[in-house]
Amino acid sequence: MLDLTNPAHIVGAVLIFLGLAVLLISAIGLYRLPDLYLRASAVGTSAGLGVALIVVGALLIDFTWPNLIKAIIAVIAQLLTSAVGSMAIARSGYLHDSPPAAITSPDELRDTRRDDVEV
Amino acid sequence: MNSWLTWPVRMIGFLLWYAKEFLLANLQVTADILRPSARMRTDPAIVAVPAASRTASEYTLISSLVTLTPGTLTITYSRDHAVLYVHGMFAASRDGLAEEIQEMEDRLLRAMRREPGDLSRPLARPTVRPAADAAAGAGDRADDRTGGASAGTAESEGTENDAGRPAGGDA
Repeated sequence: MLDLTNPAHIVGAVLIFLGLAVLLISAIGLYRLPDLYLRASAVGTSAGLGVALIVVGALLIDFTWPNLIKAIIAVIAQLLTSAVGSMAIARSGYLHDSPPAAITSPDELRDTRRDDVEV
Repeated sequence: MNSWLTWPVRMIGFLLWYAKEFLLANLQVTADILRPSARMRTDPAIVAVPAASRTASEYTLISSLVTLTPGTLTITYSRDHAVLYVHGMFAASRDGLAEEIQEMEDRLLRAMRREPGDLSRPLARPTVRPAADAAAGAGDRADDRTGGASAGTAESEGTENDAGRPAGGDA
């Protein structure tokens, strides 16, 4: 139960709201950023931070040693999968000719293509 | 021997440094997303960064850490050419972004390796040619993995990077 006289619970609640704010800003970023790569790099991992903050907040509100171990595993797995997922999305996007926004300059990966496909 | 003993200290030092960079990058990206469009500083670029990593695990770690940092993203890498292809969100200058990535790699490798070894590599973009063309001496276009993929086993050592890109580079 949330007990607002307990400092750990207050910090936990603050972290959960901070995590929510990070997730909300990431969602706004999805609309505002122009291409796949910017979205994957900015949003994918910020969302990872948002979930990690919520997990740590929940841990502080309901602290037990088994929960600590679960939270550590959850945070590591979340950060790892969001990084690998972002890379997989960006890479498959590039291989399938999803063009980076026109403001992307220089694009030194594009120069490694042998063909002269106009994207 | 001594380097074994300092390993945990070096790793913790690196993780603290990385946590600081991670939070700063988060703040920077957050601020940019919330800024009005006219003043958004987004200036993306995809840069070929010469890498000092050698083993598959070093490449895996550095590309994951670069991707985990908001605002930078490893799209792919080539072990044969020792290059990381990094998409940066705030790449005002190409060299600035490449320096940032190389600094992170330096710190990671110093923390990870028993002996850091030779970490020197150029900052400038390498000239990358397809293996087949380079062997024939007839590559007028800088090319990377399309060469590895279409030439089959010409670059057989780079299984990670070449096997994973069947026809994409040729699409």
